[in-house]
Order: sequence, then C-alpha cells, then structure tokens
Amino acid sequence: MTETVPSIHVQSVVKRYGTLAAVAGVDLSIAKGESVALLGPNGAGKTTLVEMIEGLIPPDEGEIRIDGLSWKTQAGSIRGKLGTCLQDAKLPERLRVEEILELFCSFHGRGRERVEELLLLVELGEARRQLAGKISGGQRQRLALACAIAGEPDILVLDEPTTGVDPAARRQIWGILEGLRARGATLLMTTHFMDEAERLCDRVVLMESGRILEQGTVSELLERGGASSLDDLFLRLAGRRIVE
Amino acid sequence: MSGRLSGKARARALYLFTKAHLLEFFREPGVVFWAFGFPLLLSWALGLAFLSPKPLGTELVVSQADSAAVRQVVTDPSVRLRVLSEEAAMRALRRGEVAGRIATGPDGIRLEVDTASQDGVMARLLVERTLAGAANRVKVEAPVASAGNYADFLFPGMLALGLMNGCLWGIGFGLMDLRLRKLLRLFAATPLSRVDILLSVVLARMVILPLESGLLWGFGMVVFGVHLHGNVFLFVLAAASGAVAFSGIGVLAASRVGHNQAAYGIMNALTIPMTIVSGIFFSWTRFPSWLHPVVEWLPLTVLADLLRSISSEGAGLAHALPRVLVLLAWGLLAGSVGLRLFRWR
Repeated sequence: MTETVPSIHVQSVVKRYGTLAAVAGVDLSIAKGESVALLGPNGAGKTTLVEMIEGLIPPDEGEIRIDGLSWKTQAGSIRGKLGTCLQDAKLPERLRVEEILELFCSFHGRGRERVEELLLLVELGEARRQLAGKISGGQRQRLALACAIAGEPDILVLDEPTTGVDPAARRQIWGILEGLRARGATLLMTTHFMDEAERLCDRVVLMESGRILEQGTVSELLERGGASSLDDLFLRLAGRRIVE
Repeated sequence: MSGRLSGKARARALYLFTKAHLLEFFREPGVVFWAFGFPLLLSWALGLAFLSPKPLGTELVVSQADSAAVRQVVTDPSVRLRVLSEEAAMRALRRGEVAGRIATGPDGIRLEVDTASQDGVMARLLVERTLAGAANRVKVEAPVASAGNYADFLFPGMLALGLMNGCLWGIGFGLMDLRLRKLLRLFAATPLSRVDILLSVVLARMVILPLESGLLWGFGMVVFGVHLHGNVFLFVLAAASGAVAFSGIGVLAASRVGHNQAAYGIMNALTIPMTIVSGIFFSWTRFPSWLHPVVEWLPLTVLADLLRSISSEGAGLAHALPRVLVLLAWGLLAGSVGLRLFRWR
C-alpha cells in the first residue's frame, strides 16, 4: 500500500514573539485536493501559522513540509508549488492590471497567454489597462488572487481572501476558488466568515491562543459540540466569539 | 437618534482621539528621538562649523626647510603657519584650505598669494604688518597653484551627494517602502529568489544614477565651466565605487525598518549629517580638528574628496585606488551585514 504524501504537513510547530507563543504547538495535515479553513478570532495565531506555511517566517520549533518538501532545504521547489494570497497586501499601485499579472506570471516562467487566461478567469479583462491603485477593492482582491495562481500552483494558501470586499465581489471570489477546487488544487484559507468556510472547505480548523481547539467537517463539529453554528461552538470552546 | 454627536460627546471624542495620537507618539522611542533628539544633534553639528570661535588672521603653508627661518621673522600670532610637504602644500592651495604659501628668498620673504582674492589681500597685509620695521622685504608673487572657482569645488561634491541620495533613497527607502506596503513579502513568497528581488531594486537604480549624474555634470560644464582635469574612466570608476558604497549602506538601512516614520527618520539621520560634514558645500576642514579622523572616513567625504581630486587636481590611479577600495569596503561590509539582518515581512 502506498502512503500519500500530504500537501501540507505541520508538525509540533511553535512560534514565539518574546514571551508570547503566537503558535503554541500545532499539528495539522492537509491531503492533496483537500480544502481547509482556519477559523478563529483576531490574535488566534492563524496568520502566524499561515506565514510559516508560506515560508515567510521560520518556526521556532517543529517542522513544516509542503508536498513532502522541507522549507529548510527545498524552499525554491516549494515556492513553485505554492500560491499565496496575503492579508492586506498592496499591489504596486502605479502598475496597470495586465502589467502586474505579466510580472507575477514571469515569476513562474509564464508568458502573455497566461495573462490572458488569468484576466478571463478573474474577470478583469475590462480593467486590464487600469492602474492597480485606481481599481475597486473587489477588483484588487481578484487581482491579488490572480497573482497567487499565476503559476497554476498545486497548493493555494489564502489569508482572509474576502476581507474588506462587498458581497458581490465575495461571491465572485468564491466562484473562482470553487473552480480551483474542482481542478484538484489544495486550499488552505483563513477566514472570519462562517459561511465562507462552510461553502468552500471540506474541513474546518478552529484556532484560539495559538492552538487548535477542534477540527472536522462543519456537520461533524456541530454534532460533536451540540451547537447550532460554528460561532456558537467557538463560544462554548473558547469563551468568546470568532467575530467580536 | 441623530447621527451627529452632541457638543459634549464630540469634545470627548476629540480629546480621546488627540490623546491616542499623543500616546502613540510617546510610546515609539524612535519617533521621539527623530522629533526631539535629531534636531538637537543637527543644530550642534552646524554650530560646530559656523559658531566655533575662529581666530582672526590667515593661514599659510611653509616648507619644512623654511619653517624655522620664517617663524623667526613672522611672529604675529594672526599669521598661522602650516608646515607641509610640497605635494601636500599644492593640494592645500588647490583646495583653498590656506590663503597662500610663504618662504624665505634671497631678498627676504617670498609670499605667494592671489592678491585678487580677499584671503590673499588679508594674508599680504598681515605679513607686511608683522614685518614692518624689520629689515626683511616682502616679495609678493602669484601662487603656483590655487583653488579653482567655487563650481569646481561644488560640482564634484554635488555629484557625490546625488549618488548618496540616489542610492539611499532609491534603494534603502525603496526597500523600506516595499516592506511597509507588504509588497516585499508578497514577492518573497513567489519563486523569484530573494537575491533577485533585491538585485532588481539595485539594478533599477543603476540605470537611473548615470542619467542623474551625467545630467548634473553636464549642467556644471555648460553653465559653470566645470573642468574634468583627470582621467574620465577613473572619474567614472570613483563614482561607481561610491554607488557600491551607498547601495550597501542602503540595504543595511532598510534591513529592519518596519515603521513609516522610522523609515524617514533613518534616511534623514544618514543623509543630513553627511551632507553637512562631508565637505559638499564647504571644506570639512572647517570643523574642529578632533572631528577630522571621523569625518574624513565617512563614505560621502571619501567620495567627494576623490571626485574632487580627480576633476580639479587631475589625481591619478595611485591616489584614487586606496580611496576606491575604502568605498568598496563600505559597500561590501554594510551590504553583507544588511543582508544578514534583512527582514522580509
């Protein structure tokens, strides 16, 4: 029997800032093609965990493997497999939409044809000549998503991909992410939105104070905890709501 | 309920908001330093240059061989004598650090001063006064070397200043800005290597700098008649080594900064003091002598003096090479420390 290597494997990971443990011993494994939501209030440690998975900061303890590869020794190979969409990242405001896409495609060795594909996928064809600083928040978020998937990554890590966008733009982004899921991409996303997690993810991981409180499918979690919603469940487990 | 605040509620909100800004300010030591400490330091440095009591009089160079004889007859303390070798004397005359040269001659004292300049007239008057009544005669001659016009002094300095500002603001502040806008981490998460990310910033600046420098020097030549007496390739090599020095310092300056105000603060802290003390607008020898050992090794001083020596004095490779190496050492040392400390988020 062959054992499948998980897309993301986080083992006993700890990250401290001074005396504060932002991530305090997390184990998490995400299978290929699986879609997982990290859910938790601000300060729960989601972004720190995601930044370690993205290789932006090293863990103080433990190990993170992406598709079986270690950040310590195979960072270059991992970056080709991983697409990232960072929380609040500003795109270069004085570049046009298509110029930014061309730039990010070039990071993955992709040319103009990929730019056209992306413009079509994220529905930014009409805005292609506009400066990134002049487009709407929803368009900017779709542009950031397009940059993240410029290299057609196997694994996509998204830190609050729909925060700060209007409901219509959120639904557009959901549509794009559902399309990526359907093509077999592994998805890890942090979010404050329960409906987003329920709709897009196979599994939900609840985080608080740098630790994983619970994980499972939404129905499993609600049944196990005897709660009517994920927010209620979180309130019972952590004593506070996810969005306060 | 109305959306507008009542007068009392509005005043309270304004008070709390103001207080919040003040708390933010005073809880950031870096910002406090740039707001209060840095202006004091700058004022102090400027005061050293312009307010230190300078003795009235003149300064003249004299050779080792003539110094004893000259000192016997020129006893007025307002005539200061600087004993220098021939080569050092010529350099001091060309840079305008001294008013002229004094020596003993067969007919008495030989004074080489530019009598068309204020400093030259002052030197002549003081020397003649101190010798009045004595048997010595003063023979006044035109100096064999003298400082060029102010443009010859200023433009090499301005070129050095432009290179410093171009590298520190273009590379250093550019990287800080990328980090503050979270673009650095966005790029760092792509397959593009981190060295390439930094290199792209440096290369962009290396395209702009020759344009900036060429324009400035061309302006100096056309408008002020600035001359390049030395070798043009050596001049370009000197400028390039300056760019290396300030690129490295730019990377070091940008390595840790994560706050907007700190970014401006650190850039100003690097550029303003060097602009003042490194001899861009006036000779750094005006500062007290105890400061010279520090000032003369600052990268902007080394670069400005090097460019000036090549352009005004026609200095060759033997003079330039050690200074080029000093500039490269600045760049490599600062750059390697900067890369080691560099934060991508």
